[in-house]
Amino acid sequence: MQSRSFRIDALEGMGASGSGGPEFLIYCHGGTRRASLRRSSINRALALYRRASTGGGDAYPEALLVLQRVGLAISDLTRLLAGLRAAVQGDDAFHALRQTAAPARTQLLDELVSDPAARKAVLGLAPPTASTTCPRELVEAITAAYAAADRQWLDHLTEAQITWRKVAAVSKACRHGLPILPKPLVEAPPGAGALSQGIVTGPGPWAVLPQTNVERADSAMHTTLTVVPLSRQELEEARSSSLRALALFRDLAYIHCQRAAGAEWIVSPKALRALGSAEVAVLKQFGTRLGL
Amino acid sequence: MAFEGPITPESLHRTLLPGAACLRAVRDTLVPLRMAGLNDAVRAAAGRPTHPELVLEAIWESSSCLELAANVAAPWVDPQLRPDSGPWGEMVVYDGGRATRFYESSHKWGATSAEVLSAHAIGPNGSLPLIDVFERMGLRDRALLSAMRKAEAATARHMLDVLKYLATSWNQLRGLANSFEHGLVSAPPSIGVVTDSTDAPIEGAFVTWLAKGEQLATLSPDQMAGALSVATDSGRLALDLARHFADARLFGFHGLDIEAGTWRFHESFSAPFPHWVRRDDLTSEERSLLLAFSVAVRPDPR
Repeated sequence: MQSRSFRIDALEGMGASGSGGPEFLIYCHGGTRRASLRRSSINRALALYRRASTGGGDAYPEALLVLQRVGLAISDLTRLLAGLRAAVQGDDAFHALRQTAAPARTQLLDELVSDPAARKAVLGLAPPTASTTCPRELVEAITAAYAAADRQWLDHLTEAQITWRKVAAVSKACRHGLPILPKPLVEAPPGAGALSQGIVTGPGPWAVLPQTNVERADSAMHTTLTVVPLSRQELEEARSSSLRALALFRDLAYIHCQRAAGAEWIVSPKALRALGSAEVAVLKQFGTRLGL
Repeated sequence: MAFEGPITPESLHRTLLPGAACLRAVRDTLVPLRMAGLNDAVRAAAGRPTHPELVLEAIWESSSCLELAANVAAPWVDPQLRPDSGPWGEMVVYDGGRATRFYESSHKWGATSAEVLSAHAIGPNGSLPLIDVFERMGLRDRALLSAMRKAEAATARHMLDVLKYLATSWNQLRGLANSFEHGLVSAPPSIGVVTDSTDAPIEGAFVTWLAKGEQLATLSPDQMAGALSVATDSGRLALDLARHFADARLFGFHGLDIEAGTWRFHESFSAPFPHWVRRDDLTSEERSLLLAFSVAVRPDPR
């Protein structure tokens, strides 16, 4: 392999406290491009599914491809959240982003949905207190803007949490080549034996995902069967949810870069739309300090 | 009929039917799924050197194809197999190191492992050659038996060659694929540049970290077409291999007579000798013999 290196020429805020380290900061700088890549990938998979299912076919391979890519997109968001938490805590955020296991990221997503204080800390939504450098009207406007951002982001996080629960396991199974049994294999004779026992199915296309945990101490295996709905509506909803998760991913990555570069208070442009004109005027008056 | 054996309701329920369902799912759903994903990613990346992430996505799809092939095959050749549910029990367990172990050990394999994977050797530890089964069933056609032996040897050779190629590809691709999934860093040119050993910038190069603390990996524009080509070829070959594994192992289920509770050929079926060979490995006459061969079952006089 040829000897190569990466020379960082300009990375504002690289050494700033809470930046999470240069790799994480570079990761966040590439956030928009990454989100765009994932979005395009999901849309292409859905187009394949729509084409394959024209005429009433169930298109199981394409349906699973959609869910796999949706899962990858939401996984990106959970990784970024793990990185942001590590950055806030002064830890190596890139390490956290890459190494935090899926169950811990699921737990973090749950925590951010249910705990406003955790959300405020990890997403950087703690408003300033009034001081000589931060007048009261600015504090009030930022507080209102952060509350609006919190409502919007909570909606996206909640949606991501619901979809993540549905797709995380099936996405991983697709990625690693674990068997997933489409409905016709399970229902038509001779059936799937133990892999169809006790499952509760609904209407429309679905597949059974067998998941086995092995207790290494005694090599005992415990298989659970999950029915994964694969209707067109499920896929369309999963796609919508993942696109909103990617939008949140992009915004959080962008805001983190701005914050590391020295912007004191960051207001999401989308949150501005939820504010009154007087509050917007105050924020714009201090716009250079807001990272807008 | 010499090839018979009892099936208990328990083994049918716990081992045989789940195993067949998993293999059919691989052949009919997961291979087409991976093929759709790989083709889509390759189409998206082709001719777009300014979007190196798309090449990484194709590499990621390709590594998934390799992992599928490994996951289908490994349970039949893994010495650590847990026996309680049969190979399907192993297939549904996520094991992050399985594919690496599979490809890294494949260079040590001989013809026996290939015969087991192609179902040319069946039964416990591959102790029963499939050709022997046909002979015990009464097959006496010398030309056909010779074609089977030739196809068996050619399949083993071809499979071992393919596995050697895929093992190399796996080593080349898996780090980049993991990087794409876990922490792809797309460093914009405004932040920095990739430089060569003389510190000269390489325009348009793409950078990513393979793992924390490791040397970063880069792809320069002149490498991207080659990387895409390796990803495409390896992925498609791995899917051919996965389909062959699944199809060959499903052979045994043709002999499953569920109602009678025995292993016996209960229905006629064609081309019962699985093979996966290069174009020149067999003559057209031998190919015709293998394809024309079918097992026809006469009504049981009992």
